[in-house]
Amino acid sequence: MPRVVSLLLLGGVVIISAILTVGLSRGDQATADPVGNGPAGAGWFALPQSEQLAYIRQYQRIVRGSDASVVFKRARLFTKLSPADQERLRALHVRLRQVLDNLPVSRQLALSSLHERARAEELYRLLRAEAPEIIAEFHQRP
Amino acid sequence: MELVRGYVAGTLDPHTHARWAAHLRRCAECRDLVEQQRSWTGVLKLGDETPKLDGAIDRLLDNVELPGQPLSAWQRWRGFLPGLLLAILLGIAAGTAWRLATTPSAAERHAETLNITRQLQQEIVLRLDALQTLRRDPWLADDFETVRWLDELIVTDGGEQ
Repeated sequence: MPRVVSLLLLGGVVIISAILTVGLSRGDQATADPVGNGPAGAGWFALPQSEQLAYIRQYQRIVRGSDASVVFKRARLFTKLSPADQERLRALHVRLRQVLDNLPVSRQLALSSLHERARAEELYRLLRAEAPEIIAEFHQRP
Repeated sequence: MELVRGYVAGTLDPHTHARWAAHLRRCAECRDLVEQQRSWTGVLKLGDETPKLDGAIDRLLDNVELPGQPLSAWQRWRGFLPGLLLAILLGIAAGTAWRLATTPSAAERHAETLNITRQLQQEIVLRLDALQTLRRDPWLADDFETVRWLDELIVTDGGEQ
């Protein structure tokens, strides 16, 4: 068989095989996406769409801020604490919030402009003066 | 020489064969003749048998491909089979690769229903745990470190009041 004819025949067979493969595999899902693998992906796909949209909005809100990586880092650090420590900090924040909400707005703004450590020290002085019972409560609390 | 040939071929009658064997024991010259006849017979196959060549020459010629001689249909297709199989495999591989490259995955289709990109969806999935934590405790975004420092101050200095 002439070589050119053989090559043309083989080329045609390659093309026909490729077309048949594409046609017969229509409807099959492609290989798994990295999002679909693992527990995180499974958890995501198990959520109702309304929840997924809420998380999308939340994520976009955080990312629009200037310190998104810091925010996520804080969340990860909090989850690494024991449940007892998490509950303790949560309760302390609630009590602290009650005290801060009663302050004048100017005082609140002044406090929010401080660095975290300086703000903590200022808040501690505030609690000692305004609500020493909170300090006593949490000092004794395990 | 007839006697020599007959003796070597084993065609002499028993009486003549025995008399000739007895003579060979005494006559070296005749023994040489017999040996010569034996060696010639071995090389040239000059016995009374006709060589059996039935079909041998035909079989030999069948396996000789002379220039310009047409091949049988089987010979033509036999050489083509490996190439045909390879072409089919190549076609299957090419079709599979194209399919994988162009078909959206389940995650991509899901991202489309949410009207977001696949990359954004992937980022959210990777941070889903953190997002769930921030949803439960939104104060962590701004006040986590402040509260932690404050707690440390309470624990270390709170008893000094």
